Amino acid sequence: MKLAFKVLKSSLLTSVQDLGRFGYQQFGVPVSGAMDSFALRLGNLLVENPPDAAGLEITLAGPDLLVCTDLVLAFTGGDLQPQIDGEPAPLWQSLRVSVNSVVSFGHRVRGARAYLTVAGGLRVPPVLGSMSTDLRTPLGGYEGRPLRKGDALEMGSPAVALSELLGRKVRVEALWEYARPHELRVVLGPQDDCFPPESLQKFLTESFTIAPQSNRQGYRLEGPEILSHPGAELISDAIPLGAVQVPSGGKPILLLADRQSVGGYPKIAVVISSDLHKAAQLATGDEIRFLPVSLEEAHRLLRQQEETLAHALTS
Amino acid sequence: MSEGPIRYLLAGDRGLVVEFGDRIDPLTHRRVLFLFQQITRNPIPGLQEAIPTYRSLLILYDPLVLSLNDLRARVDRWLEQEDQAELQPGRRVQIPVCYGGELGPDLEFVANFNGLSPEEVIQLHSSAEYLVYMLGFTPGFPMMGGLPEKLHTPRLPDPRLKVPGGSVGIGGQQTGIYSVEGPGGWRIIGRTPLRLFDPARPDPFLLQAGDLVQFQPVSRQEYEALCERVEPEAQQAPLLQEGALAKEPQP
Repeated sequence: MKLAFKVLKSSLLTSVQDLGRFGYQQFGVPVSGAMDSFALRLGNLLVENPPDAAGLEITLAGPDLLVCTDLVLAFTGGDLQPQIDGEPAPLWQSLRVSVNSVVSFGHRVRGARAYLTVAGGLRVPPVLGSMSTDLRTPLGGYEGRPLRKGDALEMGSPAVALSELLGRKVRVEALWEYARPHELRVVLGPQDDCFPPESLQKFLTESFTIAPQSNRQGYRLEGPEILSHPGAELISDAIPLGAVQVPSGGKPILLLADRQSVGGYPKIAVVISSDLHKAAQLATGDEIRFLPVSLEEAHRLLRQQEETLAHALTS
Repeated sequence: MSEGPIRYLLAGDRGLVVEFGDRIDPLTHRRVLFLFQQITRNPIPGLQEAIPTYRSLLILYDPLVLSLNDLRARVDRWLEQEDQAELQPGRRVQIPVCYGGELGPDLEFVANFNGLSPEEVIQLHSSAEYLVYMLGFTPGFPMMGGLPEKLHTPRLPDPRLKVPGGSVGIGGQQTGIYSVEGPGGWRIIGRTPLRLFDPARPDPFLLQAGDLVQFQPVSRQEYEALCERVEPEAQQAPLLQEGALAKEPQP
């Protein structure tokens, strides 16, 4: 293993993430993983990594990183103005970077979470089969915490010669998956029957704003009160990724990567798999709407997104 | 096994909930565990993970590999065999606990609240057998049923910011063990030297759904000895800190 980066300046929240820690929810272990797994997978594709290789998830503002060896990397996801030695660096393509260069970030232009992948993948000791950081437990990733100044990140061996990775780009059509960023499609249930028709209608027609107390565990949503039937107490059950749970106060919470595995609030709907990457790119103050789709439509959109990923690169 | 209406609920485009009634009781839970064990023993492509809870099972599947109809047909077939099949019995797990003192700062409160002496609380708590319905809240945290009614005690009005791992608590009608250090609002009556979750162990989780737990009172001296022998790190657990945090109901 080789050293890939040293952190020169820490940032708001940068963590090591792969696609998640699966198979342990029955024991209460959160899945974690990249909030925008679509972007992480594209980043890995650009540098010829397996889809579940670990990269950095960079939230809102980025760190300064010293590049410790000649490598090929890619920036995907939200646009946080990545730079190499102070020069703007393009997103969605493979980039050759020399030893002693400095990767930095500017202002947030679009989205909320950027991903940095490197040919060979970042390496941290896997915990329960995953390199993801579970910030809440804490578990995995780089000592179970966000990166800070002085940390040194190792990488694995690239799958192919670095010269073969140059000029790789994501087709612009693949990025249409980020169109309509403020519309999240949902499949109703599992507990939509805990809500009267007026609440369901409000939930599906009015807008919500991402509240400040939002993080990788979930987004708190401000908006119309979504009241459940009085006494709609629920016996705790398991929480799928993207579930919208509604406590009795009527303020919904969209549950994401670091969500707890079980909970007792009724879940009115679940965001479809192929829109979760859009949810990941939302920040405090953003307005969103929930649109209902059938299960068949959700599955069709998922197949379409997988098709997009399969042909995401130019040439 | 018991009969009852089974509901299938959609949990997004990758999840199916199979719900067995609306009660927390061992019989309903046995039905959940039966289906869970069938899934674990008979892996099928596209069926990724199942999460047992009090009265339902969430099955996660990959719709690109397994259709919901095929999954439901499979579940139906498993449930048809429900009466004939043998449910693997839960393991019996003894958990040593040092009650009271600085390891169990709320023992006195639980005693006073229920008009008991601290010794009676210890006796009652350690003579019952508890069923682990599910694990959650934090990795390895058991949600258990079977707490004697005389020990039911409301949660703290303000949860503590930090409860050490291994702390044994009472929250309303439930008892549980904090698996990792973290915030918590249950009344802490003691602490076990055992680690409920240790990702470095070959078997990282002490407990699983369906286990039957009994607490075994140990002295402070025995507690310290067990800490040193079994898990040297456990004795470094910091003292409790008071504070308000959680807005959601949680242990």
